[in-house]
Amino acid sequence: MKFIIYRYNPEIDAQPFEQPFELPDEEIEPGMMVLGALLKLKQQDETLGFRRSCQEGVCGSDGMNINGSNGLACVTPVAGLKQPVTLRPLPGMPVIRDLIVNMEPFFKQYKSVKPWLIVDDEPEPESERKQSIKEREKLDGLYECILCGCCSAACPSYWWNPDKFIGPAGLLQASRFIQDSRDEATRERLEQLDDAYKLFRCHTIMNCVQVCPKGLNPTKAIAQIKKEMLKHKI
Amino acid sequence: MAGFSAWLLQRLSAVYMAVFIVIAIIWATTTDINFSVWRAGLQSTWVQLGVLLFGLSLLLHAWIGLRDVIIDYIHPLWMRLLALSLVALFLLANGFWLLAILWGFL
Repeated sequence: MKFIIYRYNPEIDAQPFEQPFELPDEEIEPGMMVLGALLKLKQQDETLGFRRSCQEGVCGSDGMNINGSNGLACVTPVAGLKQPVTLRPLPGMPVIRDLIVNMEPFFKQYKSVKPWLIVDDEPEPESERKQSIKEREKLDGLYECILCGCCSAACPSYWWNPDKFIGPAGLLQASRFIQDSRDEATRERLEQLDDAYKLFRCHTIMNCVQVCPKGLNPTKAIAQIKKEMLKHKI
Repeated sequence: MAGFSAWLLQRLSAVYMAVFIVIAIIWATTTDINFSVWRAGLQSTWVQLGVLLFGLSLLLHAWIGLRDVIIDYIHPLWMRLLALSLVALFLLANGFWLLAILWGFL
């Protein structure tokens, strides 16, 4: 199986380049994922850099661009991929080395939506803060995000304004806490998002929905934030 | 005007224009239009108000949309200001042109 992998080590290379790799057919196991192939290719060239941890689509470390579409290498089967399989770092994100990108700006945007419950009850209650089944159901499709960055790195609006536009991943989390019946800062959260950039750079391109490896829908979450704004303003 | 209010205004103006255009097409296809029909139509105050509101919607809608494109793609401040000024000038000129046309029917 043929691969073409983006290589760049800023300490050595003046320019990024594409390196062809070949994995012999006998090394391809049934049900093999792209990450499995990468681990084998790393035995051929141990300078090849990529992140991985849990290897089963939970940690979100190995988001990359596979044949032009962002996804997790550990849950993308090699069977069915068009050859040569082109592997590139997540687009729009600063490259540290090879397939490893700097996620710092991404997490800065995530942090800006205050992704935690804001409550104002002193002293803290003795028992847990309860939700009805209906209230809890509102968080389905929002809480499952693993912050791999595939969606934001597929979003043209995030490519153009990564420092000002929060991006689909961060906005999905903003929506998750705006929808949460236990949170007491809904109004502040909505006001914080109401400017030209943070939320409203989203032009419903929906690349985020197409690439999300967990099957989530950030576009819908963003629409829900706008609906909440409408409710609060009018 | 930015963020939510701009977003809402863009949608409201779009709804008005959509309704206006449908009505205008129905009128134009079911009426035998000639100069006197056209002139008589535009002399009605209601039609004038409708057209004026359509013009206002179009200008606002275009301003918000084009400003979005400019904010997305044009980052250096002087280029952004220049682009925004050109758009504003063009839209304002169109607005005054529409006013002049409607004024002529008063």
